[in-house]
Amino acid sequence: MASSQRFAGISLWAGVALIAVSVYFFLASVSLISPPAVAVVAGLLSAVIGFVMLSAGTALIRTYVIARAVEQNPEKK
Amino acid sequence: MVAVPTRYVNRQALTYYLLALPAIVLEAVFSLGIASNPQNALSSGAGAFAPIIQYLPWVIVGLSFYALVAFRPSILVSLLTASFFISAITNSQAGALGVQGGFGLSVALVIVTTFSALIGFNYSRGAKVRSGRDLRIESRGPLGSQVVSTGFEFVLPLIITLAMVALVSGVVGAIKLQTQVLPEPLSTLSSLYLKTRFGLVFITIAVAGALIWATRQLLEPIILYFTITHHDAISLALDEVQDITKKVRKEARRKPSAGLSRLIFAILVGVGVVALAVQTLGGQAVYNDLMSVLSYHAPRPSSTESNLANAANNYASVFAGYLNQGEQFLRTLFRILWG
Repeated sequence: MASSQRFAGISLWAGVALIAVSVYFFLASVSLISPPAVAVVAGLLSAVIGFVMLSAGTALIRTYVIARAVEQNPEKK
Repeated sequence: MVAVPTRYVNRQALTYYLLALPAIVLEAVFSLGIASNPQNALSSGAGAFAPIIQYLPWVIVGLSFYALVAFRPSILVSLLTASFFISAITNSQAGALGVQGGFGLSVALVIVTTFSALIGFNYSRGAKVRSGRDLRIESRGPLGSQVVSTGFEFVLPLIITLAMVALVSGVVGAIKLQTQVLPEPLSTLSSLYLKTRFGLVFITIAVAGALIWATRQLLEPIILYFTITHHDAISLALDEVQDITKKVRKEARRKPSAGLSRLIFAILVGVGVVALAVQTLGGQAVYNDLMSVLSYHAPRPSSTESNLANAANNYASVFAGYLNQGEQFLRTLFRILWG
């Protein structure tokens, strides 16, 4: 039980880290589009990477929430 | 006297009707606009379908009333979208009540009424569940709790809707500005595409869809954390595990695992690509490019990259010159042949 809780915790923090990285890529996308860089294709690619990271991060957090609910005592909730 | 089933007249049902009614009103406005300007239907290139396009919106309004009474708000939203598309195709201005910048106003109204109808979906479910049965227990709580509850039910979704509308407008406006920065002919093509109604509608829908998807991705785990029960969690977890397990078993039956050979091959290819880049561009340039990933600034191109870029631009200019000459030749030929 201790090892499965540790694994679930890693899942949560990995998800949060991925969401933080996705925010970075969204900011980079805006920065690449704004003057003086004005690299539209690079900006779009950065936005796509950001969306993929966001999807992966939220999927990990969702898995953590479900695993935590499964591990809980059914009488608690 | 005909007895009206109680599921149509209870409190949840009346709230649902009020929330879904703006969608039907908007459809009627679009239909009036199309009916009052029949020449637009003809000039929109509809051809033989012009009479159908003129009367189709009224059919949609009729079907929407049916969807309202049958507690099917998803069908109502689909019909509203179809009505808006027909109005956009026929270039009707009445959807915006004849005001300047009417198309944008129509889009905003469609989004707001769609969200309103979807909020009403919750109440329609409550009305269906009650369906002729009396409430055994009803708790109201103190006034403050009722205000907070009403705020969460009505005010918060409306605020989120308006924020989404503003965000979508901002993003679409930014996209329009960025199309002017693209190289030719992409700049001209994308600017022309965004000037058409189809292009603007599809881009707006794509941006709105992406924003709603991102919002849902962020909100879903939070809502699950506070609402999911033990049994629901087991059922969700089993669904996900079963899906992956089936795929893995099917894949293992078709071809057994290749072991570490593919991983080793992938690592060797990666090392080979990096070695080639270092040999071609130089170690410092590769290092600068990799470090620029961690900063917000575009990497400075190395001399080799600049030379390659200049050579590509030169080839593109030469090719564009040949195309221009060919176009001039064809224009002269057509002028000679047809005057």
